[in-house]
Amino acid sequence: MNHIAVHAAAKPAPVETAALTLMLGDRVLLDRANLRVERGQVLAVTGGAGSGKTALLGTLAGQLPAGVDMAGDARVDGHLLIAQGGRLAPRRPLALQVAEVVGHHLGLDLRSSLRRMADGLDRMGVPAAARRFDLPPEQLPESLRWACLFAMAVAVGPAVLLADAPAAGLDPTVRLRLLHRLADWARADGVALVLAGRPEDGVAGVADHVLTLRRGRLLPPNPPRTEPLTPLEPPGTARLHGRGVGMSYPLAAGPGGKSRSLTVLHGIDLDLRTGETLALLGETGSAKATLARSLLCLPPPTAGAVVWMGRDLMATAAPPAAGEARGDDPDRGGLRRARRDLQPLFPDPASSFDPAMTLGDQFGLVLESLRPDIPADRRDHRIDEVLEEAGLRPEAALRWPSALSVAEAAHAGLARAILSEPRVLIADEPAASLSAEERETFLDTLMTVRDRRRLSLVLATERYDEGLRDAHRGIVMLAGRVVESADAETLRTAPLHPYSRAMRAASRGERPALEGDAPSAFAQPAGCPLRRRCPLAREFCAQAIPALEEVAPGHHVACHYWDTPAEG
Amino acid sequence: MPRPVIRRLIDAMPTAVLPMAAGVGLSALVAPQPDAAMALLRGLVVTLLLTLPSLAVGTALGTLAGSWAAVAPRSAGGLIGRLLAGAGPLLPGFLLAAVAALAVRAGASAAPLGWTALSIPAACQAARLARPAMDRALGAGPEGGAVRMARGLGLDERTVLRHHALPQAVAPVMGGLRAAVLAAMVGAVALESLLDLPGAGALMVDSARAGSAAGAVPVLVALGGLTALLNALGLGVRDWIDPANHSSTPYDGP
Amino acid sequence: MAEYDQPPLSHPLPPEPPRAGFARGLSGAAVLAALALACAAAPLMADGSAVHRLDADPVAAALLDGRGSLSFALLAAVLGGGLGIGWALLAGLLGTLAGSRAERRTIAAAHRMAGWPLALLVPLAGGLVGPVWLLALVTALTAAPAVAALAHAELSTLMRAEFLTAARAAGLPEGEVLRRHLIPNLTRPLLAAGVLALPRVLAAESFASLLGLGLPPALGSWGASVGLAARLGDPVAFAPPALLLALALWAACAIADGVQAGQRKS
Repeated sequence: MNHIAVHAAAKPAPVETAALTLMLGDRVLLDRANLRVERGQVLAVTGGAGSGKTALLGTLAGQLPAGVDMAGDARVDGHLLIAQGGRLAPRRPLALQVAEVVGHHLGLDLRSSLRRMADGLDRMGVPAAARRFDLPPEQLPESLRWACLFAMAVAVGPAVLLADAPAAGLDPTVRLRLLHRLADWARADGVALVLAGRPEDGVAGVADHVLTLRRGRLLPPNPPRTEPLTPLEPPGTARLHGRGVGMSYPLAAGPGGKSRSLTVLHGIDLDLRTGETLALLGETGSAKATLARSLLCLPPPTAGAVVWMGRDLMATAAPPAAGEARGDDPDRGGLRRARRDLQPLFPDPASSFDPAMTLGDQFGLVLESLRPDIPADRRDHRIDEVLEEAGLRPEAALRWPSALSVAEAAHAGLARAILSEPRVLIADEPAASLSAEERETFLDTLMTVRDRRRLSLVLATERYDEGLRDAHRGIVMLAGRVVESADAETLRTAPLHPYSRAMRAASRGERPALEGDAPSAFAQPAGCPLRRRCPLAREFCAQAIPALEEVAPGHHVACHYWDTPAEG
Repeated sequence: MPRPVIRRLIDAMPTAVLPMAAGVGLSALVAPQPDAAMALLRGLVVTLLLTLPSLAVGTALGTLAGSWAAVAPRSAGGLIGRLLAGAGPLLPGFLLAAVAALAVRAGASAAPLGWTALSIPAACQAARLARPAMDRALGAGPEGGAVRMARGLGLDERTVLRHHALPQAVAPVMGGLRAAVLAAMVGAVALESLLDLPGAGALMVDSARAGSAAGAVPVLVALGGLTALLNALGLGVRDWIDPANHSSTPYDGP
Repeated sequence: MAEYDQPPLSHPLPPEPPRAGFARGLSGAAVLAALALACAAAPLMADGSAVHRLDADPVAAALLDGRGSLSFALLAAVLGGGLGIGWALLAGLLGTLAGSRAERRTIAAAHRMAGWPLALLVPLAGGLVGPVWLLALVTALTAAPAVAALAHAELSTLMRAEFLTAARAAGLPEGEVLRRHLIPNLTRPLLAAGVLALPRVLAAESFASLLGLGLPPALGSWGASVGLAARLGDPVAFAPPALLLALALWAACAIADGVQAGQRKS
């Protein structure tokens, strides 16, 4: 980087602001910021939702968003802005749009534009077989669309590239791979690259400098918490057992009227002990959410058994046989008792509340159903208690779900889950809708509640380090199978499976050693589902799905070559 | 003719041509008049000639005016677009047909008036759908992403409007073509009956007035077929305008 | 512990969404109510000579006609909305009892019928069948498929809602889920879909009457007066019923739009 600075000293930096101030109405988005990005330098600006990142990038690109007032100076050399969401005209073939942009900037015809674009795709690591230029962007996979956008920027070769929430919404391993390639290009070609994104999106990992936009100031970021909030207590005995839990969905009948089905979860075995926190780690298509719901029998899995305190939940969740009509029994087979003990946290808390009832009414309904032992006049008191425990005020009981902010809805979801005094919380990406401080606050609250009530917790998440931080044990899932399971410390320090290693690298902002994209659930390769992306893959990987084997006490890995170094 | 249009027409054969043929055959068999089948065939052609041009012109103009109303609401074109979008439900085709009949009684010529009367509802409908869609495409919401991106990539405003915003305004209009076709059919029947044009709608109304089910039902069946034909044409045009519909999406039924 | 003394900074209050649809719906309802009142009060204006419609002042005559048009439209809209909602519920019921295939077929039939020029059935029925109630039924049928398609879309969105899963996680039996969550949340979208029938039946009836094949002359109808005046070439008799009809149609459409917009927002 030093030699760049030497060169840069001769010319002014491509991005320079002096006392740049942005106001949205009377709210200060940015307060007198002095920003300077040199050639070949990568700057990441992080911040929670609505903190003004988009306004800042729009201003740098000379497109002041509506309603935002600007003061101070901002000078940006020939720039390109990749706007939030990365949407192109949804229905025009991609080739035309690329040619239009490249041709507009460089004055090239269609053929030369596409050739430059192909070079750009090479630098983004998109294999030639995946290049489908004649399709409109809305029919391309998300990851390919982002790769094409980055390649378009590479083809144009601007002095400054501004990217707003680049590759947001992609799986961490795919996102970090693309971002690292983009940063490599910027450093090699001397482009000033400014990335904006939410702190948990990992843009910070690829950057040379990171600034956090907080309350109008650009500050150095707070390092995220890496240790458990309070020292973890050792877990007790196993209470919840999953045996061969599997889930498959029927598909339309194939040729010849053969009935087909799609199996997304392949016989998972799992035990959860009292007071234990288990992190289910996996990306899109890993079926971690399906597993979480199967444990709750919402809906019951199609194979295997879920046993809670010695009682098979699937037998009780199944509708009663026609012969024995016991519909009037309020606690048929003890399912309601199990529901009281096992409570879910939903990925989108706001939509998990009935919009036609106040929070208090819904909580009352839960108590009426799950805790008939609490008299009706004590319910309000109980509701106030859990709301305060979950970090809300008791008055929240009077509010309507539509009046809650995203963060409040998440806390209210937690309050509802602990209302019946459960013993297990099964949380599927409970903080997916939150970012930055709100996310940390929510997770801290969740852990405080867990510790106070000595709850068992199943935490399904795609964020490796964050999930393992407060966990006793972790399970890494890929395409409906467990690929590695160990205690959290081992997984954090020395994971063995290449997929675990890639997820760990991605969660730390490092370059994951996986190529390409995850295959679709309908087109899984034969053998190991990771083999087309894996650095360790050999011919044998295509022939057999690796079985889970114990490599150390309590540490299981499903990989044929976990102990061999990568070839070449 | 562009290939997507032909494909849609072939797909629509059973629902469009069969009812028309059945209507003609039925009227040859059961209708009281001897030349009913020929009259019905002629009538179908007249109805098609009335509806098709007015639909095409009305929809095209309405879409442009509606989109322009979102781009420049205070310009002349924008004012027309706002007017059309706001007046939509005020001006159903049959009421305009009655106005046209009144004007013809007062001495105006029938054909241009008839086409105008039928194209105005189509234009209103198109403007009503195009304007909010264009507003969203240019706005700050998620639908505006493509336009923001195009501006961020440094394209000039004309290209942005033409290629990134306008298609988003055209898409809902194309989706609403079915309703426009229905309105045009109703308007055409009223127009033919009031202006005494030799169309299929007039045949049906005359038979219904005479209380002859044998005369009216075959015409109704044939008119249903004609509607299906116009719908198929609309779908074909949609596919032709919008490349996303004929690149790799499988056929999803009429 | 998180305390929300003030809204967290990262969530600025969103700007108040434009309530254009709501305002339009309200003005539509006001216009329709005013029309209905004026029509009801019309006999008072015609100084007791309501029977001689042709001699009366054209405005008073048009208002008298409005009684027939509006009351028939209301009757047919209630019928049509009910039929459409029933159709959608039947499809949903079939879906739970007989599988999604039956549900898809039931609702695909509604979609296909909505693409057919059903409004042409009304003049046909006016010419071929006698009683008014049968005509009302046919008119209602022209609106029902569109209502059914919309109501079914709302229904299937609701059936997938996450809060139903949350209710099941709270151990509520299916009957309770239906009673406590599904029905309260279903009423509004279904009624909103039902309102869609009003402009359609008003237009269909006016169209048929315009051709002289709608309501019997004794009842009076805007469409019939417009058609008669157009045939006679009488602009003075033409204008009042035509304007009132256009106004009523606009109001009915505005109500339907407003209810839809309000529905989508909440």
